[in-house]
Amino acid sequence: MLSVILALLAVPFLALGDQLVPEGCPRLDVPGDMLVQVLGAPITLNCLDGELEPNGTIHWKLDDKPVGPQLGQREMVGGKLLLKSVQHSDSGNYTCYLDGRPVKTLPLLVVDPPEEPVCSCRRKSFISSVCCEWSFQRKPPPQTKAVLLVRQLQKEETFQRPCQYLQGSQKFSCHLNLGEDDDSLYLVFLCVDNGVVRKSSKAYQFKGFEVLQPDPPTNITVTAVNKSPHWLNVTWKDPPSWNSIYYRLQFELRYRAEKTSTYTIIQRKDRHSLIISDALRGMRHVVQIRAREEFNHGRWSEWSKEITGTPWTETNSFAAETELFISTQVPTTSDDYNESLSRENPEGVTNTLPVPGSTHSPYTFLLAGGSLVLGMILFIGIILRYRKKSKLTALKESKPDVLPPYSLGPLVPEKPQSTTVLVPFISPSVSASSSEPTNTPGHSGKDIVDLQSPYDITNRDYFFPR
Amino acid sequence: MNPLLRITGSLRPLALILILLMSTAAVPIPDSLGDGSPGDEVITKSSSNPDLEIAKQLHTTASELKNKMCQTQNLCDDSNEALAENNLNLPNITERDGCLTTGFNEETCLPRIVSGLQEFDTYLRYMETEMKDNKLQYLRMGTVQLIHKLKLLIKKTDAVPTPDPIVSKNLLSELQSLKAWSKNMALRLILWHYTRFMEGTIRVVRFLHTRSIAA
Repeated sequence: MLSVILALLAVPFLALGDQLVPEGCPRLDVPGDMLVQVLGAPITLNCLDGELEPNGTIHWKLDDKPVGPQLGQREMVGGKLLLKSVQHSDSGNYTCYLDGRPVKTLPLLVVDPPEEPVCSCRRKSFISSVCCEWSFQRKPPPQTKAVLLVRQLQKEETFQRPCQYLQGSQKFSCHLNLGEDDDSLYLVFLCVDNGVVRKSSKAYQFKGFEVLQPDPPTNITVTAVNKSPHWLNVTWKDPPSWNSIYYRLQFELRYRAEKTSTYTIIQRKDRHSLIISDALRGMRHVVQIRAREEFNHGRWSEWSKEITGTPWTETNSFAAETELFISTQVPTTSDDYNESLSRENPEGVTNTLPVPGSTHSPYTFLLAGGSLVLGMILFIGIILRYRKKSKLTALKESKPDVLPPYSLGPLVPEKPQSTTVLVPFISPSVSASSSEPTNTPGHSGKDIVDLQSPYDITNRDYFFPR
Repeated sequence: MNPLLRITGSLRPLALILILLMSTAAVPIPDSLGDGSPGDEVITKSSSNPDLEIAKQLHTTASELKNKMCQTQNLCDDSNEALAENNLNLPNITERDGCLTTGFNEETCLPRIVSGLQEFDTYLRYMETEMKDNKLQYLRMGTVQLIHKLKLLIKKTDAVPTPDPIVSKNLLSELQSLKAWSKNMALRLILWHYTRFMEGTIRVVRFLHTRSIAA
């Protein structure tokens, strides 16, 4: 316990001094045949070994160009060439000659002072190693080496892990293998040595599960659903780097119509498909998905790249047909998804091509019939309402003006007639809709079934809300 | 989209009339009409594995209790020192139990999970008396139920050790002697470990289930 606290206390000290290299950050084995100096620092090139005085004339050449003394810059003392403050132009092969005969060649490389490494660690799944990386701003000299210094705080162990220089992505990358159940506390430093100067990153502290960050989901498809102008069927797959059916991911999907900027977000646990059911008619939608470990360990992945899709439209039937055709080519993921979809919408995705001519009729009929029925109901409602109101006012003048809808019932003798007409219509619809496998979590069905509020068309609140 | 609007076929005109009647009948419009939670209606079939469902519910309940403790008493998961050091010896699932992907072994793993859950029983009893939250009673009862169900999956019944009542009694009295800070810390640790243990249980039960389906 004490050691853990001490180690934790040590963190700020170590993090404070970016010039300080933590104890244990090793001096790396940089190739020794080359002289390396940091920009602006002095260096002495020695022609003869030891302190031997030359018994002849010495002169120097840098890449076959003679080098002479220069005030404040270069001095030649005996067999030595002193460079006071090296510049990039001083890099090259220095050859010294004794009485015109070459003695030795010294390659000199002038490098920029190393930038302070910034270490960030991440683990793509429970069964992959932790990857700590440093993406540098300026390309370090080729001989630069890096190593990851690791402290396991609970066990009080310190060890190193080598880092690779990745030419393509311009970074150093170091791997640390952890057991899949290892959630212990680690402290890491990324140590860099460019041959002259060592630098260490600030301490990076993490727990084994905390650095989990999966890659974004892949194979995302967004397809139209036949005859559903507000639906978009989205499917996706785990990122290949997750590579486990034992450990699972949860997902978050966000979407927007292409022309708008606000996203709608949907959470999804352990499933790889969903239906967006409020897409805007005929509009192209942008969909993105991200993933996180199912029990909220670690961080969310980056958002996946944007995938677009347009819901089915009857006017643009060609586009719809092509999209539907594509959608049937893509194997939809889970079986239960397919089951529920086909149960709910038998004319759904499985129907490749809409039957010619049939697209218009139900909607036209629906619209015409609907408006007709609406008109009739409104008309009947108003008539009944006023008939009843006139009777009511005649009979119950002393009653308060505002009555709750259900309290009207027992007062009015005519009411049974109106309800007996309406109830048989309502109750089958209730049972039909609630037996639909729709699973909108209960509320719509519950509200409709509520027998405490029979739908009395004589309630004027329906037409004239207070 | 309101699911009612998707009644198809010859019922369409009738459905429309009914919808119109209902919407004029001052019935509160269901949330799902708007931007509620699109897509939910597609997911109807829950996992057909009752053991997994129990484990998931227990995990959710324990997480809720943990969050509540974080909010009300400011005892949260983020202070590592307190979690690093404890002498409570709470059960956990490790690689040695054969419960992880590396070296998964059903025969050692299931008995370990069952015995771990049995070990939690005393701790849950302690929490139940200390915290006075109905959820804890559910947690304990649910755990007993899960133990019973998981035992049915174990082929070698003698692989599960029977809990020693004297040991549990001693542990309980030891726990009950804790005061103030230690008590709160113990409660938090128990919940934390229980949640972790249940995560492992969910993974194992689900893995066995998917494996049996695939086989």
